[in-house]
Amino acid sequence: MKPLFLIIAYLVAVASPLVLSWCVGGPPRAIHQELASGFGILAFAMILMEFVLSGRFKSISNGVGMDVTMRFHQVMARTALFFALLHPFLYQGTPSGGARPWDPTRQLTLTTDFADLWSGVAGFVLLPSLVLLAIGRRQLGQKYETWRLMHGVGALLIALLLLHHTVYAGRYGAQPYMAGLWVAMTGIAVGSLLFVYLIVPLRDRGRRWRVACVNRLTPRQWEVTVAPAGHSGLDFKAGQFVWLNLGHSRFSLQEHPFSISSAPAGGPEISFMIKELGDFTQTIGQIETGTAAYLDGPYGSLSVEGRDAPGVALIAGGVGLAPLLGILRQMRLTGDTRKVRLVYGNRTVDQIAYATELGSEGVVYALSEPPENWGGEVGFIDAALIDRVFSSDEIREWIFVICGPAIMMDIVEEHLISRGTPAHRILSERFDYD
Amino acid sequence: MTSRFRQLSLRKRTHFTMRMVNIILVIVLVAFVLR
Repeated sequence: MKPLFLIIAYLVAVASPLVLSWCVGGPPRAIHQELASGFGILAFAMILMEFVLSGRFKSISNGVGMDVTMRFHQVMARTALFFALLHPFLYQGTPSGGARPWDPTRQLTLTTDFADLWSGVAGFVLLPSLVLLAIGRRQLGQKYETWRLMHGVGALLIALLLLHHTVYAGRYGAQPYMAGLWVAMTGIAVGSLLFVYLIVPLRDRGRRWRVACVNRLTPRQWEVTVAPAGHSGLDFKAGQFVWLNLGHSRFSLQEHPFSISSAPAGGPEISFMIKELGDFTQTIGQIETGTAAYLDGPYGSLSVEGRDAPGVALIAGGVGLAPLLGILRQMRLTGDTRKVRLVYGNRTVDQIAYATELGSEGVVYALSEPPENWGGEVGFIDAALIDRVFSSDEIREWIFVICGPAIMMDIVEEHLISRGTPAHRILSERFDYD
Repeated sequence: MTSRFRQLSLRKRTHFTMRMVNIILVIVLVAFVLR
């Protein structure tokens, strides 16, 4: 889907409860009270939309990119938290304590009935915890799988608590049309969670894969190849990624996103290039041949298929080679007539993977800590290296695909744009997006 | 304006878009409050 359409759809979905509240009306109140209600309504709508921005819906993430979807999810969660935190404090000075003779329908007073308020208080405490735990996940050393479970369950709980609070304590939420809208929106949000973690696994439980081989590529990088067990395999484009579940139940949360390093034209077997990073990837080398695996995907928009350009430049840093290797292999296997050049950066020579397959033609190796007799480029992949490797015409006309450390991607992308590469010819995918 | 936006890096385009979304939501909120 086009990014503009997705943005408009998001705005309509988030703003619709506020607009309907506007239409439902009610006696006029002080500005700070309306602002309090407005903040609460917007925050709840944004929280519900977070469920569909989880990155697991291909119609969204394959259109704008997974990293952009996740960044949107992160930033909008922070905005929603800010609105939600302001919401109760702006009611200062509003008459409270139950129905008054002059306000039997509670249009101008606040309820203090704890049966109506407890869910809002609980949501008010849980929401900052959920957002702060997500922001500080790495610093707090949380195990990824545990965090994912807590994040999902916490979000579900918050949505249900806020639905109760909005409908029972809200001035606008209590109106029948508004209550209907909130129930429908919460239903979609909860349904999206169930779809990803229950319906999709149930649908795909027969599409099992088997680990065909596990090879050590470098001291800390592995190649894992899986083969379809009794089905035709996966329909994907070179450069995309999947959520890989190795040796666990189809319903397990023990799944991780990995770029596919093999090519669609290479057959139904799928390979992944995985680096040991101190988490579950430490145990990749211990996976036995024949282990059951499940794949959810493909995801991502890092594809050069159907893009018109005289050449393709692949800029990889470390394990960022994985999706670009898939693209390179696909181009070689299909006899793609476009020129292709790979720039592959690492710290030391023993970190270079697939050196034999890559060869030297059309491949530029760069090392930041080279050995004495090193004949390739020295240093990080930066603006100067890009200028040495690509001519001005190539920079203007080729497609550039970049994957690697965030700092490398920022430097290369900014430099390419400053040298005249149209932004739509630069494709990139980040695993961290800050 | 549109051509300048299209020449921003993906990171900057994303940040710009999110800022615009937040601004639009605040405008809707202000309109709601002042209705």
